[in-house]
This record gives sequence, structure tokens and C-alpha cells, in this order.
Amino acid sequence: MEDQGLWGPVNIPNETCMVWKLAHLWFWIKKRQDEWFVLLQRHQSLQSAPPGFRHPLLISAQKDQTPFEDLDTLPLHGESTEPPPVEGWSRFVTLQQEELSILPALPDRPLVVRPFMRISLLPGRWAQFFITVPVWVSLAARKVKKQTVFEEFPSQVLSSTWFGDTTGGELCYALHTPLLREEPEGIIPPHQVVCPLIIRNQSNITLDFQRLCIHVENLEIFHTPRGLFTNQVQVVFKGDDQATQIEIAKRPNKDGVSIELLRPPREPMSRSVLRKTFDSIKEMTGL
Amino acid sequence: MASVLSNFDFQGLVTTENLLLILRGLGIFFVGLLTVRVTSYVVRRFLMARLNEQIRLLVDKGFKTVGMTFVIIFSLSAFGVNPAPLLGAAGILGVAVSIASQNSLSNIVSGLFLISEKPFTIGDIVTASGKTGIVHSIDLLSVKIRTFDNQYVRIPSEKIFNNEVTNITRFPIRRQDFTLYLPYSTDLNEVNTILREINDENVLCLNEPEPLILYQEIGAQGMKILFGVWFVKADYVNTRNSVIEMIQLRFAQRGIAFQVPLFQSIQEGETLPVFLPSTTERV
Repeated sequence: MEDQGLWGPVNIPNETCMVWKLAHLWFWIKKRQDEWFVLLQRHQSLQSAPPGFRHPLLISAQKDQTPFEDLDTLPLHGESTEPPPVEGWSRFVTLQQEELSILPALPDRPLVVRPFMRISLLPGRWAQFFITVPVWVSLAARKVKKQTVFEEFPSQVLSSTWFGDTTGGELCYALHTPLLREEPEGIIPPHQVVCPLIIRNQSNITLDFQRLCIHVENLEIFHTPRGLFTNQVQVVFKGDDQATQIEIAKRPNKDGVSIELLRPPREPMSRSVLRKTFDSIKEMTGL
Repeated sequence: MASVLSNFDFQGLVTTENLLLILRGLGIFFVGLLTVRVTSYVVRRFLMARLNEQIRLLVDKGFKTVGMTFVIIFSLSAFGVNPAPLLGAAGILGVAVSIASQNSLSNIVSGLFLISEKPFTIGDIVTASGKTGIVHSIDLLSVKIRTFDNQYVRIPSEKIFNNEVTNITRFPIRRQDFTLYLPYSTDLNEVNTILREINDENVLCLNEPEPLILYQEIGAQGMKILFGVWFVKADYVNTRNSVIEMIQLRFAQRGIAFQVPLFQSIQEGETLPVFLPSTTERV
């Protein structure tokens, strides 16, 4: 069974509005001549509105006798609809003959992956993990083979976090994950990208970690029959006093299946670099 | 006066020789001016590209001043004016001016120390001499800041050098503190949970470093609680507004009220109450 193919060129006729749903995100796109109108609505903004506040989208759904739940069962390829009468539309001017492409993307900052519990890897051992990363959506104006991304938004808004001490470090997104040991079964939901990760402990000490920083902006996205995957990442830990070596494979480690490159990395990087990857809670706190 | 002017030989001055001198002087002046400007641009753009903005400005100003001095001297020579007496006079004037302006010298020395010590750079947000704003320029004599209500403030270098200066944006992340006063009857566990939820759910608040929740004191105004969230320095206004909004909303939803100061006036002759009732206003 293959996924439904959300990603790729989309044909939206003039003066037509289409709606898609990805996890807790709905997005509407309307074409008018050489302009694209884009509206985003998230589940939280509709459901957890302040008391006494009625979201215009909910009101319009009731008025038109169209249950709001209908939006939950949208097909992946999108559906024609009336543009909802709410504020928050963005307007982009392109060329009339340009087509729209919906593309997956990885977050624009590194991810600090926090497993549900502390993980210890004994000296000389290695382990394979799988991280499911919420996908970002890129909208691109496409003319022949040239694509220009004009809008990007996350399918799931992640909290910001800081990796490093308070005087230096980098701004990242926080991702809580069970850090699966097995590849997710079945079709991977279209709003997720699976990042295969191998951690090797080549030091003489036990590697304890509560979080690890993955520079997803250096990874590519591949389309496989089961869903989206990134390159395989290998992290080699050589000791507390040495930087961690990160190796990015050319593709996910999947033999015998067709793999197609969907998105190049945001920031190309050499295949092997040294970086700070692990961190312990002690270094991060401090009043 | 009129007789002096009428006897002056103006026609004698307008000779071909004098015109050539003037043209040559003007030519040297404008070519020199152009050369100084172009050289200054090249030096600033290519040779000093890696230097700090304030050092670049300082070197640029120094280069232009020295360059223009030479251009003026050469132009005067070309006009046929001997610059030696002028330079001598300028030297004497310089000594006189420097004696008369000891404060300025003190500022210059302070400015040099500020530039070498680098407590802040152009674009940083600082609080100095009671003014908070964005550093606009750092010169030898003074530091100019632009306040948030768009005022241009000049602070003498010496004043900054000798007093406390807070650089608000030196580090990439900051902690923003909110002080809450709650009635004594408040469930502190519930408050702790709500504050952690706010930090987790507000996308502007960083998950790590963890928020600070500190029970500061049990005082006359109720329980004083400090809630500190970490955020990226550029998000100050949005973080502050959104956190206050969330505190107000979540506390109201969970039925937690804020303590309001209570005052009771007692007339002479009345007995003092044992305690003040802890009545509070619902948010």
C-alpha cells in the first residue's frame, strides 16, 4: 500500500479555492488570475478559543449546515470549497501561467529531541533509532522546471528551546518522542518524516543522554512507497572531551524499494562533520 | 571705507595667472576630495570588512579627517597661499583649545577605553544614565542611543565609562520575570502546574532553560510568586504580552484570583479587628 501522494504539483483552476488537512492544520488556497491566497487554521485556534469567543469558521460551518467535522475527513489531494469568511489570508503575486506545487520540508531550525526517558548506551555499543519529525509545508510557484517557494508553515507548531548554555548556543525546536527502536509500521502519516538515526558509542564510558540535537536543516527528504524519509544519520560519540562526529548518508538505508528525492537540504553540509550533539540536563539549567 | 574700495585695483586681480592658480587650487581640492571619499569607501568596504562596526566608524572618521587636512593644505599651496603660518596658528589654537577643553579630553580617553573594552556594540539595547535604547553610534566623545519612543540621546563617553551600563541584548536569550501576588488560600501546586503549562504552550517561551517558579515570600500583600520564562531576545514585547494574557486567562479559568491590597480604616475608639478578611476580587 502506498501513500496518497499529497506532495507535488496541484492544479487549481482560476477563482477556485481548495482545502487540505494535515494533522491539526487546515490550509486553504485560492487562485485568482496571477495571485494565490493562502489561509491557515490550526486546531487549537478553533477549539481552545477563549470563553465567550465564537470562531467565525465554526459559526459559518453551522450557518451553512456543513458540520465542522467534515473538515476532518478531507482527502489528501485536497477538496474544492468556498473560501471561509475569516481574516488572516495572505496574498502572493506570481505569474498567471505558474502552477502551484505543495512540497514537504523539514523544520528551519535544528531539533532538540527529548526521549520520554533517559537513555544509556554502553561503551562500544551502537543502536538504531527512528525519529518522526512533523513536516513543514512549502508552497512553490512552478514554471517549467523552476520552483520558487513563496510560503512555508509547519504542520505542527513545535515549542522553541535552547541548546547550549545561556551565553551561547542555538535556537532549536523541542521534540518529545519515544525514540522508537523499530521503523514505524504501515503507511507513515503524510505530516511526518521519519529520520533514521544510528548512535555509536566509541568511548570508554556509558553514554547517558536526555536530549540530542539533530540538524534537520542539513537533511534531504525522500519519497518512498511507505512515506517520507530523511537521509540516515549516524552520530559517533567518542568521549565527553571530544566533539561528536555526525555522518549523513546519501539516502535512507532502504534496499529494494524505489526512493525519490523530494527536497534538497535547506543548508547543504559536508557528509561528515564534528558537532556538539548530546547534552545533559545539568548543563542546561541555572538560574 | 568707500574710498578704500574705490581705490582698490580689482581688475589687477583678475589676471590669467591668478585664474589659473584658482582653477588649479579648485582642481586639486575636488580631485583630492574625490580621492579621499573613494579611498575611504574602499578601505571601509574591503579592508575593514571584518572589523567591528564602531572601530570601522572611528577609523573611517580619522582617515577622512587626516585626508581632508592634506587636501586643504595642498589646495591652499596651489592657490599660492603659504600654509606654514596657518599650520603654526592651528597648532597654537589646538593647544589653547585642548587646555580649554579638558572635559572633552577626558571624554576622548573614556571613548577609547569604551571602544577597546566593548561593553556594547552598535545595535545593542542598553540602559545607561537612566535611558534605555538602541546604540546608534559610539564615538570618541559620546555614545548616541535611540530610545524606543524615537528620541536621540547623546551621552558623554566619560559618563558611561564611570557609571553602570546594562547591556540588555548581550546574550542571545533572556529571562523575563513576572511577579504574582496571590491570596494565602491559593493551592500552590495548582499554580505551579498552570505556570508550567503556560511555558510549555506559549511558542515564544523556551522549553529549556526551564522556567523559574519561585515562592518569594508570604507577606502583607499575600503570597509573592516569581515566574521567569526564557525567551529569545528579539521577542521581548510579544513574549511579555502573551504570557500576561495567558496568566490572566488560565487563572480565571481555574478560579484562581489575584490578591488585591486591602486597607481598613478604623475610627478612634473602635476596637481593632483580629485579622483582615482575605476577601479577593475575582479576575
